[in-house]
Amino acid sequence: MRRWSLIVLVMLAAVVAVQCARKPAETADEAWQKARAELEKTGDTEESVAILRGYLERFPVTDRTVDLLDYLGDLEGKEAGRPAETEALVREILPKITNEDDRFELDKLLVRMIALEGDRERLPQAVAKVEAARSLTFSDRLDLIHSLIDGTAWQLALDQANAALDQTSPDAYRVEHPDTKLSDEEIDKAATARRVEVLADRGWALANLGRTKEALADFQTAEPMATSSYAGVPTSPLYRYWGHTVLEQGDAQRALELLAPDAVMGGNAEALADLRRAWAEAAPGEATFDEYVWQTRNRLARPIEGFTLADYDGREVSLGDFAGKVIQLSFWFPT
Amino acid sequence: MPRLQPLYDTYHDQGFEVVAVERKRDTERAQTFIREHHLTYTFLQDGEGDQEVVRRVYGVRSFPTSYLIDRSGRIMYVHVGFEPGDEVEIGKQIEKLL
Repeated sequence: MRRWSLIVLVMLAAVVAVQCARKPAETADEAWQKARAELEKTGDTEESVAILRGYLERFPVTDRTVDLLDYLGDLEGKEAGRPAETEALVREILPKITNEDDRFELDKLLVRMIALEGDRERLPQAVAKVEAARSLTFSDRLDLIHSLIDGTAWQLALDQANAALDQTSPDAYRVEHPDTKLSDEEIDKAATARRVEVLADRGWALANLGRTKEALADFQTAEPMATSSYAGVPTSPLYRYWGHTVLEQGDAQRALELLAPDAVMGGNAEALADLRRAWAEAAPGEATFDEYVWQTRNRLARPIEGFTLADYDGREVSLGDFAGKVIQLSFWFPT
Repeated sequence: MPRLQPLYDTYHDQGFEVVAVERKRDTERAQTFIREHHLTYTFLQDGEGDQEVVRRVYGVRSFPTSYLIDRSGRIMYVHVGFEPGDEVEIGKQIEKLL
């Protein structure tokens, strides 16, 4: 008897020890903090994909599900070229999502993945499902356009661009943002920026459908309105699309002018590849391509405007304090 | 931001600086972030009203955005967004300017 009770006691003690050693279950937020820190550290696409998938497997339904799947779509679907795998995961998670907005966003993501897969049979239905769900905002349209362009589904992209163009008036902006605090002038500006963006996209779709004349007309209409740029580098893809189109038309000299800012100052890989082609065809002088890029950069580079701001200890620091140094000036906010 | 630290560590001795301007003035979060990631380069907060520089002076609307500035104070490279692997390209550009 005494031996049996001893065994029972030892077993009980073992159970208690195991219970104490087991940590309380990690919450979704704690796990996310860790995953995010890992994502920030790695510079590798596949590692990022593995981190995202690992988290989503453990916590498929949180308020960050849509953002993470969108990011996975960019990395795994677009960069790594495996959109079918992302689509499968979205379809697995979708039935568990009850939030209407989240479901809608995931349907848009499915359009993106199916477009990237090049599946022309299922794509029109996927687009129709998104369109039937609600009246699409301008940014919904833009999401669709960019997905369809990435998937080279030009006719569908053109249809969406035509629909989006109707939503680029100042009044359409007011309808979409009834609580806007923007002044009339700012709303006009926002509406114009929308117009430029859609005209560039529509022109690009038209160019790829072989309708070059109409494409060039869109680019030319957009240009006088395209003012947004970072330090002289155009932020609209207008110039990249336009440059490619005139290059295809055989006007290498014009292509050089259009492509240079984005290719040389913005480091856009597609623009740079086209610039190289245009340079080879136009052959401006005897310099090598690298020398040409360097000269162009020197020609386009503008002096930066200085500033004085405080650090977190209240000390004032001026950009001029670093004169003579090479400076990486970054604008950010913690998320 | 943490991925700029290795670039700073590698090139600082050759005359390379990283200056990060935090736009939202979210001091507590920013300081926690800087501490947790052991970031040692220069951090500044954007000003308010007339003193604001990020949007007013530079017209920056999406984040993160960075400018690479050469020794004579000219903007030589603009980088919008930050994807895995972008630090490799930025590193190449820095080497050209040093």
